Amino acid sequence: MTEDISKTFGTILKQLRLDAGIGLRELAKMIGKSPSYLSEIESDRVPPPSAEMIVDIAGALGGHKQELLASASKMDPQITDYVAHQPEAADFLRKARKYGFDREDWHKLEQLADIALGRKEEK
Amino acid sequence: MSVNVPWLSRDAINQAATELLLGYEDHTGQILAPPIPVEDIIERYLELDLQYIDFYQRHGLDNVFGALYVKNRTVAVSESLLQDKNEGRLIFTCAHEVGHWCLHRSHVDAAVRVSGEAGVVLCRTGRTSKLPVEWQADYFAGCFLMPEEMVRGAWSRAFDLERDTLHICNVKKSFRTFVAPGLKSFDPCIENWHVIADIVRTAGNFSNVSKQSMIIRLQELGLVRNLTGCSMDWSCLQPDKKAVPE
Repeated sequence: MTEDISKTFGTILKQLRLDAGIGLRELAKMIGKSPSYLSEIESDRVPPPSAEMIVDIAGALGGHKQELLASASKMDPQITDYVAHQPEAADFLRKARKYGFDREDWHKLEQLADIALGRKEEK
Repeated sequence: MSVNVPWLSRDAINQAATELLLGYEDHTGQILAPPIPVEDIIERYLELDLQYIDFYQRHGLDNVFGALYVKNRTVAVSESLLQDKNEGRLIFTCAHEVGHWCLHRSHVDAAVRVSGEAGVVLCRTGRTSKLPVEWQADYFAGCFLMPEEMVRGAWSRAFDLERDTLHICNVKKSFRTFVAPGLKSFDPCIENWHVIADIVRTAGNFSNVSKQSMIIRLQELGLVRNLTGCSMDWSCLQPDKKAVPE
């Protein structure tokens, strides 16, 4: 996924909604929020909503969960929950932060994990 | 801001609305049928930003139901119209702002250059609603939401009239009772204007249009003529509110 950091959450959300052919009022109804609140989100007059709501929005739009979460600088609630219940995962992430792992490091680690654990992520 | 606009004939305004609808049909490759998808036309065809806002909270403005921000390419509609019972009014407000965009945006641009004012057309209820700029946008909205050919088609499906025009009388003593297919009979008296509007609305599937807008459009097209000299009582659509004398 290529991220365009110049685009705000609201801009990306609006474009995805229009691409999906869904109206503002229609999407608001699908996620149980008011159209005026959704308007404010799309025009970046309020901060991006919670990660949970972003997941709901992505579900209503038929996808783009990672793109929306990344543009809001939020983490997938499933991942947050996993890390919260796996202290080792949290420790590992702290280490990664300490050593400043970059994209290439993560890619290597992913390959190593696949080999070491004999698993392949379902794609 | 106040915008001075040149006089436009009804035909010219109707032509502008028709061209917009034809452009949308061409864009989507589909033949349009009521209800006209105004919000989709605003966002995906005209590529304007559509927002629902609280005008009082954002700008301290009362009695504003719609606005067009020409420079920002934004149509703003009052969130107070988002309640279910206001669907017709909300859609008409959207269509009215589209009318300003199609008919008046170049005049707003010119006014901005001359006066330095913000390029905003605010649409209020009350005193400004009879200004030419507002009348033209209203007439555009009627043509846009209820295209003549579609209304006449619905009219002919709903009624079997010997003559085209239905005359509305002022007392329930009509010599003739009309029966629309599948609907109850009614006297074409002034009190029943909303029944007539609803029959045509249903026959034409104009589901996002209010009865008030439909009866006005029927009169514009000469299909209904009010012979009573009395205004139609819009308050009958709002049971909780008393009639306000004009």
